[in-house]
Amino acid sequence: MLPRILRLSLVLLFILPFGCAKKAEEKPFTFGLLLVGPYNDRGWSQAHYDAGLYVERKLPGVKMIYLDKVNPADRPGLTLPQLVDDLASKGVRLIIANSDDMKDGVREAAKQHPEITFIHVSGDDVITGRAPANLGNIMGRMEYGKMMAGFVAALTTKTGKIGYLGPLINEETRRLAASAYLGASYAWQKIRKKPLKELKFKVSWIGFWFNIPGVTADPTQVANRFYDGGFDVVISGIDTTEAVVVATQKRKAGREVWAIPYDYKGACEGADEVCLGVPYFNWGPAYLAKVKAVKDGNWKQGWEWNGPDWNDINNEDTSAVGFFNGPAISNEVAEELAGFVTGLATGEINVFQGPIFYQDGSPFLLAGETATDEKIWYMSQLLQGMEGASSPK
Amino acid sequence: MLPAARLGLSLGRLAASLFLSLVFTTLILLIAGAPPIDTFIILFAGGLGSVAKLAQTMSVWIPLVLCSSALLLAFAPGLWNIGIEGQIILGAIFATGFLRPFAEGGSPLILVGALLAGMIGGSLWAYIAGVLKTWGRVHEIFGGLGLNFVALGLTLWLIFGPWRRPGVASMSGTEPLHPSLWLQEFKGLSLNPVSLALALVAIGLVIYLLRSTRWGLSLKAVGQNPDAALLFGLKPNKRILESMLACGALAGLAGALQVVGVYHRLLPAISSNYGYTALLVTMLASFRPQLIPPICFFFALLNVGSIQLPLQLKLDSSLSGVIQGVLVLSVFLVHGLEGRFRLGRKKE
Amino acid sequence: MHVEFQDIHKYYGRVRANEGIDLTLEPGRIYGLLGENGAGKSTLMRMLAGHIEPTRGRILFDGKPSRGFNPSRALALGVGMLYQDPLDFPALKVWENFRLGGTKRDRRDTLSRLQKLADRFHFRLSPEEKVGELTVGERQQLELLRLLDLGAKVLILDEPTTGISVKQKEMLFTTMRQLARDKGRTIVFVTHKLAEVEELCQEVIVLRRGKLTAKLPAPFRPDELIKLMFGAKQEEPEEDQHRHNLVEENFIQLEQVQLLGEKYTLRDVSLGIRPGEILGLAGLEGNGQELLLRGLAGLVRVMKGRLIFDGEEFQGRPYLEFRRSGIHFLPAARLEHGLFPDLSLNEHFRLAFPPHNGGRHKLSPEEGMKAFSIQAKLSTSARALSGGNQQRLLLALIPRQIRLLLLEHPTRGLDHGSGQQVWSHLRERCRQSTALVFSSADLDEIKDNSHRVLIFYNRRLIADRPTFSISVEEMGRLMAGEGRAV
Repeated sequence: MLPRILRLSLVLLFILPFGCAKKAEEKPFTFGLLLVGPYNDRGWSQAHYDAGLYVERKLPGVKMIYLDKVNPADRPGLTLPQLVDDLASKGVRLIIANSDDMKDGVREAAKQHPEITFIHVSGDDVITGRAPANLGNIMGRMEYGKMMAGFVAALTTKTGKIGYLGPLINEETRRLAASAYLGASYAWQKIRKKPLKELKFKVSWIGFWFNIPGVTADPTQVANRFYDGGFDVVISGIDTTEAVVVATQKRKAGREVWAIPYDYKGACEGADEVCLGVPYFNWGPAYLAKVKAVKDGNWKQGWEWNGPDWNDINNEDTSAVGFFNGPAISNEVAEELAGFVTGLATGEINVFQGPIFYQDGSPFLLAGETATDEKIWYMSQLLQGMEGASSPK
Repeated sequence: MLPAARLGLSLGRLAASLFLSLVFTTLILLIAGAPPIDTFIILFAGGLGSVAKLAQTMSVWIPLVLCSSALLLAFAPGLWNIGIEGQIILGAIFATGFLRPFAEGGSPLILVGALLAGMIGGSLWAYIAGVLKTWGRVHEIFGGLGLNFVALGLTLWLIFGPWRRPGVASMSGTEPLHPSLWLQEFKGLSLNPVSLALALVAIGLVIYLLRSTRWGLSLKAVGQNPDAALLFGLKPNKRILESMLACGALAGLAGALQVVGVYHRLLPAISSNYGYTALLVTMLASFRPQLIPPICFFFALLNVGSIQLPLQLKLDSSLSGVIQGVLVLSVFLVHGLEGRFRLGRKKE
Repeated sequence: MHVEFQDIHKYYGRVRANEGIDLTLEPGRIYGLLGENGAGKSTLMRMLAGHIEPTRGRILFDGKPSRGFNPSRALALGVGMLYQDPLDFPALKVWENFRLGGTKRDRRDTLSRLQKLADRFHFRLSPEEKVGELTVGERQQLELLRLLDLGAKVLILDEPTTGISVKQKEMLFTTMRQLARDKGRTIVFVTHKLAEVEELCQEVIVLRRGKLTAKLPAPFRPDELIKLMFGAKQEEPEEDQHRHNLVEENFIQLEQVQLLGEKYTLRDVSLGIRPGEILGLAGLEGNGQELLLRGLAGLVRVMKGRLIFDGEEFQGRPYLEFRRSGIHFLPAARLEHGLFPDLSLNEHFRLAFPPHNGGRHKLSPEEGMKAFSIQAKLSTSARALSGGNQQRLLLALIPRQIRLLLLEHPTRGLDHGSGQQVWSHLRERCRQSTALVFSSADLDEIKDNSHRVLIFYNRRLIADRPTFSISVEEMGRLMAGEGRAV
């Protein structure tokens, strides 16, 4: 209870001034944000919330109202269309929903409220043709972030064994794990000049985005098993920070290990010895574009997959995904990474280039073939060379 | 004591608790720097302000009333059926399983089958807890908690495993039911008449059973004194199993209605913790059936109205959870103080 | 210690439990406090022991008024009370409970002290047993020892002879006399048994309806005391001669039965019971009477031997079959095991007489209340009834057609009049050829009411004698393991 109360008072301290300032203006443009987790989860949802604040900063007169913890466990009995009704009654003209879970609810609500524009983050209704005309999709190209994570991992590892702490299995998580592997294998072969068969890349799925005791595999245990089994770098694909925590413990016990967290810029904090860097989302620019378009009446339906700004992948105003170097990254690796990023930017390097095979030996990309967006989006298995399950059993 | 006087006492206790929790909540709000009166107005307007809001509140009221009625049946013979969460979940699982062959839709009559299947599922889960108690001597609280975990594990396994949506394994649940298998809602409102009617029938039935039937009386007798019940030939173990079956059926019905009336699919959090909330409701009502509907309404109101706190005041909506918790604690406090106050007199 | 009550009043709402009581207790004397149930004995003594505060008036200890009322202050002043239902801690072991409130001692000291005191009264207490597993009688014994150990100067004993043997009673009385004479203790002996007052007390205090009606020195005239207690002279119930034809055959036969209880086993019981016969079970608590009653009721497992009922073997059958065959058991702890505390009397009647059994009640609840003179409303809860009314309610709930009635301490805690009523009802049942087996700690009750006496010692049935052939004294000796069993 106490942390909640504290949080409550903190929110008041920081947020109330905004609310008061906006009151004076007439009929501000309002957009709604539906967050699956707490707005301050230091992960996926906070990245979205921060983007909303970014929009308010950039466009004076625009007001965000948000509702966090939008999931059946935290809001028993309330369905997405009901929450959208609530937002609609507050006069919002754009609603952004940030979770894959909300797919069906957003579609239903969009049909009921044709006057409001809906953006479903990470969805694909526009591609599949199930979206009504007022519903669009956006997503960030995290594949690049994961490639960089894999690249750094492969250059850092001394044992040649990289662990990937995976959440549940679906198309998104498969393609992210595969991207990390492709980044790693590039670094292993091209930079370290070693044969690919000497690189071990193993994926362990815990079964969910975070630990549910008794239900999922315990990520702390999984990370421990990685390190104890000679894996000296673990890349996290889950929403919580177990990999970094366990790595720090191992360091204190005198082991030379590293970890790469996920989602949130600040995830390396407090893990100076082990954190090699973090791939993260930066939703601000996309949000800003959508709000402007809807406000000016020139929004068009689309499915957008936004990449990094190759001039500066960490530019808060332009880049949809980025990679922050962590305190534990060595200078040499950081230099190589800069080169890798330049290569990706110019198109000289494309790790999604054939021949690449699926885990079962069937071809994913033929020799000379480069992958289309759709092919990457709908990847149906892990790749040859990766250990771990490709699909839920 | 006369029944009317006892009811009066319960009401008085409730009023004192409400007042106490109001004071505590106001204090919390003042500490948090929020305007207390505005907060309360917004909270209540959020659940009552319009027909649509009222409908939302009632859609939460329905499962709460079903579960609280169910708990009254279990409490009569002295059972703390904390396993009601699992019974709701099993009801939802059975209803979903029953509807899976009808992916292309079908006649609304199929829904009758789904509701019955849900009741059977809930009963089955409750029966296991009952047998664990009567035969295995496992206290129903521990048996129930264990079964809750199993039920949750089962839903997750089904959703991630055999019943997963093609190509994905995600927490968003199973493939939605065909719209012809959704309970028809009142036009433009998120409330369906079938669920409402069933909830009203359930509470009425439970009141009738406990008040006017010999079966209900013998349940109470078992709860009062199992030794004496045995001597009176009331078969305590059989009564315990019967009450668990009945309780489980109502809980399972609530679960099935969540599937066909609210979410239209199976979710990991399908029970929405209504079982635990209903336990609080029944305690707050001092197990008096006539107080169940209003208290459920109050809880549903808090639940629905609390959405407005982040929207309008940018307050954390967990405040409604704080209010619920404070309310329950106040009830125990009032009860305890009353006991303390009376102890001296009761001695003789 | 010199204790003086000055104009003590105690009201509960409109009920006047004590009214204007002035009373002085001198050190070194044994007082009997007499009165029927509800006369205000307990209220008065609880005020002395500091559990409740008088509405008006004050109590002086050696001339000084008590300041504040609470039990620990009273105990510090030297007032100790032994309750009818001892205030002990079921989860503690006997020796741990014994040590409570006393000086700090280690386990060994405590054990030896306990042993010494127990030996003085020939109490059988195993120090390592949980208090919750003791019988009411054993718990009283323990509490008595504890109070003696604490060295109370004023000792209040609330019906202390319930549940202990004649011999133990004599030992207790001897100790009381010693404590009063040699150590100057004041002893208040709360009871409704005139004989015990005559035997022990130097002075008697009689309460009636909350008021002090007399304070008389010994010797006492029983008829006068009865008049003081009850107002008008009590009409003695006409003596039933139990004169009925015992020509019929045994309908119940036990053949070398072994019963497995929770705490011990009762072995090798053989006996027969004829219709209309009354059997009294005598013995110290915990020696087998409880098991025999429960075994006959089908509540305790028969390990060996045969239990024959109407020619059929009943051992191993479920309780419900015993019950259906007309066997009925009433436990000693009425509210704890026999009734539903928060259900109303009307609900008790509904539960006891299912409408489908014969289509209608033989007795409507109203008739039952009247027939058994239960002084309460039908909407009253069982908890609110006095001990006497609880017992009358239990009797009223017994089905009409009963073959065997099993009663544990049928009149424990009842005043003289209520006890007489219970027995006149029970005898009426036996005239209609219901057999009756009862246990009692009051040997006079057994002598007065039964045809045969069964005596238990050392967890065995050691004697089965026609009542006319045995005296109360002999019963007492046999129960205590003296004299030869026949």
